[in-house]
Amino acid sequence: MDLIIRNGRIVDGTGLPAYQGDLGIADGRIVHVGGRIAATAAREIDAAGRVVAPGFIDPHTHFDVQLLWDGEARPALEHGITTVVPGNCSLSLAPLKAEHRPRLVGMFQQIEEMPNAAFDGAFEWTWESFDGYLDALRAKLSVNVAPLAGHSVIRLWVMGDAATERAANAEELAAMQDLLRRCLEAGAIGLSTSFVDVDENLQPVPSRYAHFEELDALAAVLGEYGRMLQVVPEFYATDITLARVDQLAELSLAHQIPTTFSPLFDSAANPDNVSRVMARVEEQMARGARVWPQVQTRPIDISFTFDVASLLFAATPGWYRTMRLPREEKIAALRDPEQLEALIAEAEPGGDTGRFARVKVRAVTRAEDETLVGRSLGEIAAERGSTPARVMVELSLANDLDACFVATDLGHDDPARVGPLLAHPLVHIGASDGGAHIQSFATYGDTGYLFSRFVRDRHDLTLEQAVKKITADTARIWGIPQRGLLQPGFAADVTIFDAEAIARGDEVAAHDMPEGGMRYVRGAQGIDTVIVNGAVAWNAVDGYTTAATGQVVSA
Amino acid sequence: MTLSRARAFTTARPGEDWPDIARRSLADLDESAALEALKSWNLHLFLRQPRGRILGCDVIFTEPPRSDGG
Repeated sequence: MDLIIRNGRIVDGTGLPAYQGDLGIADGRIVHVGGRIAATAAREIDAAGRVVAPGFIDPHTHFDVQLLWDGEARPALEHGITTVVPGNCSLSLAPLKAEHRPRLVGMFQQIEEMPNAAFDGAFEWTWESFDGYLDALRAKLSVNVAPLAGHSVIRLWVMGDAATERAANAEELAAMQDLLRRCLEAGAIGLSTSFVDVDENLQPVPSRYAHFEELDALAAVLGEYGRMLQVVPEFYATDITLARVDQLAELSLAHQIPTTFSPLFDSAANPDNVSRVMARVEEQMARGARVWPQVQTRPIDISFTFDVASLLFAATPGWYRTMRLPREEKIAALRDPEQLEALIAEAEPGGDTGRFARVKVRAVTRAEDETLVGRSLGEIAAERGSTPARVMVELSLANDLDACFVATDLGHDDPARVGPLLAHPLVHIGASDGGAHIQSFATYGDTGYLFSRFVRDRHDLTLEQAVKKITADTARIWGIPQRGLLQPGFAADVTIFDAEAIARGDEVAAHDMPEGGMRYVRGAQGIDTVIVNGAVAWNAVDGYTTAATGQVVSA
Repeated sequence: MTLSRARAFTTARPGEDWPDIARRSLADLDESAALEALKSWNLHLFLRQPRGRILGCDVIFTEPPRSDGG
């Protein structure tokens, strides 16, 4: 054997009770689970007091770009994630003709808040085809990748500018089917589409121009391979989400494919949403359809400065347009009394100051404002005889647009409601958005939060149930073979952690993107060792290794 | 297995506009009444810019919200 993990508390992914045992690995595969191993190995790990579990699988990420310069998908891997699914929400980096790259970059920047620097010079764009993209990835992967092909880029490839103008004709439909087939043959685990997203010009992305007949035709191709269809529904509107559940069920039954929609959020503003959607999911699943709602573990919050256009302003178009102005024009607009009053009127109509009142000051650059950090704009406004929106503008201008604010009351934040939802047998834990929205919130550590909040603190799930949810269930839902269980013959993706300590760290700003770009990250707590295809990829003592044993994994 | 009743909806067929959808999905009403009904049940589509544009993927409700929430 190449590696033996001894004396661990084995949580094998089946959901059955943990037990003491050893685990042996050879040639990247698990060869022994359970009883004591008499043999020795070149490398041995004493896991006494630690959980030995299958590597976690994150089914909703946007690491497509980051993986080109960071095959570890940092810091996801150190949180115990051994497989990521990029290419969600209709966006993937392939198949993509060179002439369409600017359009994809625009969509990525708008939807996933990926900065320009991530695309400019951080990698060499050598491919157009899906297999070409996978070849570019393979050389440096430390994490496994199960990539989706994006509907929007498939439509762009076949229809060009007409992809955002009209329905596809029969010839174009056939061409899209052929192109999807080539992606699936190359290793795509399925197709992603979006019913809600907009591009950098706030126009619908190409996938939204597709009629149901087009989606049905593409789902038929997925049916030839039994692969996944992922969609982004109108998650803010229950009736529309219910309609999407029915559409997905129809596709699932007609073509015998798994489908998943993400996200499904709980929100006090729409308290019946989850119960109504889950009731419909239960009905459709009882019919034999596979319609998996993805639910994230973490509450929703958004941090922002006036330096970039945050999604937080999407509901106030005047603010959003202002935030998208070049820096000097933006400052001038905010200083112009007439324009400022128009913004205030939009944010606080009729004197209703609720929109930004609970937003808190997160960080400032000006020393005299430091006492404001941690306080709400509503409190500060009350002291100053002002309004929250005015205070926010004043602080931003005074801090050279670097004042940072955080909105923390955006939903999915009642653990007494989210915990039982996560434990629901038909809920697919995911929707992390890993690698996206990097200047708004940290998308890393959702699995640690699952264990700390909903297993250890609240007992909504047992340890074994939580592990199963993010390993074997995910592999089974997505049809990823021979992963997600600690079982002889399975790939040796293993996460070793302390069940009493696993958690997500605090959200901090890091400047580790290309050209020193900033993003929010969370470090891991309680993770000891992460093994990918039999090799240690990260451990708490040495950090990342040079093993680079990640693979493109497919159905 | 029979599904419980849910709010009825349709999607546009290629080339269809609002009058086409009104005639197809609300054949019992005259066209102007059908259009008004569709508009009231699908304000989220009618109000977005450009006004009245239908996208291929849009869910278009053909009845009002159900009183039982279903």
